[in-house]
Parts: sequence; structure tokens; C-alpha cells
Amino acid sequence: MKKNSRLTRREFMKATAVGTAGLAAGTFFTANKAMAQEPIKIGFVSIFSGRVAMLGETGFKGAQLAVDEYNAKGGVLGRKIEITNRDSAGKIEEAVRIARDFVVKDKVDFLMDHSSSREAFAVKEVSRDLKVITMVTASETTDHSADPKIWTPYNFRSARQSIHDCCVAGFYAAKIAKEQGLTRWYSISPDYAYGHDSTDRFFEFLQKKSPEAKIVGKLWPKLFEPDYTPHITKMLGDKPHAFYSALWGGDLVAFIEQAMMYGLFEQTKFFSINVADYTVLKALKKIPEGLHTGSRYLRNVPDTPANHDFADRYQKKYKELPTNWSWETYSGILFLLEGIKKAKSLETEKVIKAMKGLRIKAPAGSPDFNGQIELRARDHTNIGYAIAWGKTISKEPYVTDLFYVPWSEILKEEEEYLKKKGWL
Amino acid sequence: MELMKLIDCFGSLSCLTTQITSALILGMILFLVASGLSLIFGVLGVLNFAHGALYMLGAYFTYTLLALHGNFGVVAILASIGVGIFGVIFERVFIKRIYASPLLYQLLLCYAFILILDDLAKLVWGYEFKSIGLPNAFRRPPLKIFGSFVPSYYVFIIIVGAIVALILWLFLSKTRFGKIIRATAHSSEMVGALGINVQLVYAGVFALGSFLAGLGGVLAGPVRSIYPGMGASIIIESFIVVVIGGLGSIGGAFIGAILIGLMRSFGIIGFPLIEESFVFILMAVVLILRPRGLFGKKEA
Repeated sequence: MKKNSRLTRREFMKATAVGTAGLAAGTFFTANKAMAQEPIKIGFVSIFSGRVAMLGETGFKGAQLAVDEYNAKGGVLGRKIEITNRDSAGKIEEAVRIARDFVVKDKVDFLMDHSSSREAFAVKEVSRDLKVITMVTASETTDHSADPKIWTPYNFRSARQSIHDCCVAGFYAAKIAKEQGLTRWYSISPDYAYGHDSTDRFFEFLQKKSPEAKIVGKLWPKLFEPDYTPHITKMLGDKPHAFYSALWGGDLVAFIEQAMMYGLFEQTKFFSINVADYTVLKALKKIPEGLHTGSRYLRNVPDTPANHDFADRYQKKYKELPTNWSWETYSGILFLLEGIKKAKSLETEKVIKAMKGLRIKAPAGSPDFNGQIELRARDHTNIGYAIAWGKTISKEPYVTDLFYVPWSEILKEEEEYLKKKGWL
Repeated sequence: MELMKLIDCFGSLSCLTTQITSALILGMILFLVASGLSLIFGVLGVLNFAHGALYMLGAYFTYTLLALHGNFGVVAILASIGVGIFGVIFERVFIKRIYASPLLYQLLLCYAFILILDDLAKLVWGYEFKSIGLPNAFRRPPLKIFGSFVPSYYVFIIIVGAIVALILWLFLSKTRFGKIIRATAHSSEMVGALGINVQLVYAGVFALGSFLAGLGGVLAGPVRSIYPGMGASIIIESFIVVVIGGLGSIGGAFIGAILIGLMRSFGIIGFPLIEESFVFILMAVVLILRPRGLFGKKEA
């Protein structure tokens, strides 16, 4: 304390007034700044290294495209959107740690979980525990949103769902089976949850519409199996009329190249749910004609201006075509930001309420769903996205004779399945 | 019952031919990788966990070189030599420093290099899987042998594998260099005392081992998909081959690799659901009955 420094009352009042005004103005100013400039933060967990780096890379590109488009229009609620990604390397404990860090340390407002189903089930528990809204953009396993025992209101899923895919696949295969008299069926799918789930559901739907289809063998190579020669020669020996496969990505490319060397596709019809994705089509040196495939992402599924435009914008920005993961994350950002707009708030409960049953126009929206996709209120999962099957050709658009099942029918089949499981 | 199919297969010439060639294809590529692994362990005493990454480099080098030069034969040799050169640099700059260190350091170093090389591959070649596609000379319908189909490229792989095995055996058992290498494996101090440059032998063996892994990757390139981390799929099986064949034994690696191929190609006929397990059952049986491996030497 300085000596002789007593303020007069007048001086004291003046100083206080100025100080207070300054403080208040300062607070006001910073508060305003926060309102205007503090971005909405989204933490993106995925795999960016190793064998499925493509999952994270192309998924993040889809999300980033959507974020950039919103920011170019001034953001949402006057705030910019900021999305950051981190690599879990496909490790469950790492994905969980990253998700927690995003929320606790980085104070993100929302999580986007673009992990494989293995990690997604664990990250789901983080979102339940920390009460943070999580958009699930890659896990396609039906149980994730359908099993009430593990369901949480904080999870929403913009990714496709296995049961929907398999319904279209089975019905398409049944149609071809009837036309061509295919009764001896085989399968070769990767030996983990997704491969088994996809294959079993496919056969259920196939046999429902074409009861004379008999399953004569199932093969389960491990995930990332480099060489399928034993499986291929085994199938050649057993001579099925047709076979189904849930192999994907690099595994599928290797399988097709190896099977072609044995002339397998000339002897048996191939139904593969995952060929029609640009990553697979691009990697194949020669696309075999006449394979039956489901669409992961194609610019002509759905064949709408909105989807072609999306493919063009994506291609312009990244010099490559979108993948299945790109449309899933793109849709995820759309759902989330439109939800926030509708809620006019970032408060968790309000945004959850706004996203329940939210229907939006989106590139993935199926024409019979009015070009829209919907986060179904009951289980927070995406419906209305386009699913088609068709035959491969070697040139663009790569798949023709597209076959769709109306969503009203898909939903009916899904309901039947869920009731059978006791989940509905 | 599927077991009946296995019995039927043994009675059918076409099925036997198909499954045996299928076993040989798996076996030959595995042999190339495992023999390098075994050689490096036998002479240098290093468990090179990063060996799978060298296999990956072989495939990537082929991918790049084919874009510059169309001839697959020339590219195959250049790419394998490229991996050999990379191996020497890796040994001289890094591995050399840990010969005297505990095993744990080797594992750490090699594991670090798996991660580094995988990420490097991602930076250089991108995160997408690549496919080379069959060389034009092999783009033809499969050969028909005893009523079974055998793709011509696979015949090529089998022949190359067999030739490499033969040359390797002649080199190690009949030449002066081979004798030095075997002597170094036995006692590097003694070899050094005789005035032979042991460091040079080490570098040479590492180069040879890397070359073999690279060649495996080169041959696998056209029929398997190429992606960062593809080495992980082959390194485990290579270790199993080395365990079955005996640490440090090239002949053992050859027999071990073909046994694994046979287990898989016939296992899938009779037991399609547990086909993968036969490889491990074989390893367990060998470890119980003959812990040093089929051709392994007794510990001195």
C-alpha cells in the first residue's frame, strides 16, 4: 500500500464507475463475441491408419464437405461449425479414450462415431455415460439401434442398416433365382459379426421369396484373408448355382481377381452386396460383367439430380468419387445441423427432441421416400436412403438393370424381423 | 457329411490336382517370406517382425514400377532388388545397433518400423487398396490338367518358388559364401577371428532375406490386394512356418510352408468351418512332439 494515497469520495466514485462500465462492456463484448464466433464443435472418431484407413479418410471427407457447405452459408445459429478427427487405429479402448477426451478435454458439443461396429458398441456407452449426442455414421449392424437392451437416446445413426440392405438383396436374388432356376446356393463372407449377420439375413429373405433355394455350403474366411484360393477351389468342386458374399473392400477385390483366374464367375452366379462402390470398382483392373451387386454408393443410386450434384461437388473438391462412407457422414452432418436449427439451441435434450423423426432432403434420399431421409423417432436410425441391386457392366455407370424395393415393404419386413427377435 | 467329400477328393485325380496346386501357391509365397525370416534369425539372431512390411514394399514397388515399365519380368527383379537394398539400409542404420541388446529392444524397433512403413506407404501410395491385375501374358483361361483348372499365373508362381528354393539350397550348401554364412550362424566370433568381415556377412544376409520377402510381395501383388498394413496378414503365418520348420532352417521353411498350404487346401474340403485351425493344430503338434521344429538343430 502506498502512503498518502487516499482517494477522495468523488474520485473513488469516478474510478469505480469507469471501471465497472469497462468491465461490463468487456463482459458484454466477450459474451457477444462468444455468441457470434465460438464454433459448434464436432469430434470425429474413426480409423485413419492401417488396412481400413479408407474408412476414416473418405468418411471424413464427406463430413467435411457438408460442414464447409454450411459454413459457406454462415453456419448454424450464427455460429461456424468446426470438425476435428482422431485416429483410433481400430482399437476399441483407443476409440473410447478419444471419444471421452473429445468431450471432457476438448469440450466438443457433439460426437461423430465413424468406427467399425466393434468400436461403435463401446463408444455408444461413452455417449450414454457422458450424455453427449453421438451421430453413428459407419456401424451398420442391425442390433446397434434395434436391440432395446443396448439402446440409448443419445445415439443417432445416419449409416445404412444391415437388415434393410439384406431385405433388398434377398428379394432381388429370389427374383433372379426364379428366372434362372438357381437352387443350389453357397456363401463366402468374412468371419465376424457383420459377415454372419449379413449372410444369414440374406438367406432368410431369399428363402422367404424363393423357398426352393437350398444352401449347400457356407465359407467363412477370416477378415483380411490375403488368399482365397482354397475357398475358390472348394466352391468349384461343390458346383453351386449361385453364391452370396459380404466380403468388402480390399478383400473383395482380391477375391474377385483370384476367382476370375479360375473362371469361377462363368460357372456360378455371384451375388455380392459390396461390389458397387467406387473404391472397389476403381481397384479392379477389369470389372467382370454380369455380377449381381448391391449399391454401396453410386452416382445413379438414387438417380436423382440431388445425388448427381452431390457426386459432382465431392469430385470437384477431392478429385475422386464419394464412397459409401462419404454419403453416410454427409447425411450425418445434415441431420445434426438441421436438428440444431430446428431446436434453435445446442442443449442436448432439445436437440434430441428436434432430431427425433427429423425428415430432410438429402442426396441419398430415395425417390419413393420423396427424396428424403428420416431419423426414425422410435429407434433413431436412418430410413429412406436409396438401396438398389443390379448387374455390373465394365463402363460407367457400372451397374444397370437397377432393382429397388419400396420402403413401405422394407419397413414391413424389418418390423416382422424385429418382432421375431422380441425387440418390438 | 463334409468328411465324405474329403475322402472322395483323395480318390479323384482332378480334385487332388486342384487342391495340391492350391496348396503349392499358398506355400510358395509363404516360403519366400518365411525363408528370409528364418535366414535372418538363424544368422543374425534377430526376430524381424518388420519382415511383413518388406513383403508389402515388394508389392508396392511392383505397382509403381509397372506404371513406368510394362514388362512384368523386369519389374519383378528390380522391385525385389529394391527391397533388398532397403533391407541393407535398414540393417546398417538401425538393426546393427541392437545386436547386443535384449530381445525386447528388437521387438520394439521392428514393431516401430511396421508402423512407420505402413504410414509411409499411406503417404506415398495413398490409403486406398491398390490392385495390379494380372500381367498380360497370364491373361488367359486356366490350364486344364487332369480335368482340373490351374491358372497359368499360379503355375508361374510355383515354378519361381521352386527355382528360388533350389538356388538358395545350392548357394547355402555348396558355395564358399554359403559356408561362411552357415559358419557365422554357428559362431560369429570364430568367423571374425578368421579375418572375415562379419558385419558384411550380416548386411548381406539381411539383404538376401529382404530380397526374398520382396519377391514374395512381388509375386503376390498381381493376385492379392495391396494396402498399407498388408504385411500383417503374412507375418503370423511366416512365424508359424519357421516354428514348424525349425528356426534358421531353409529346408524346414520350405516343408513347413507347403505343409501349411496342404492343411488349408485339404482342410477346407473336409472341415470348411474350422479350416483355419488346422494350421495351428499342426504347429501345436510339432511343438509337442519336436519342440525344435522338423529340421531345427538341438540347442548346443
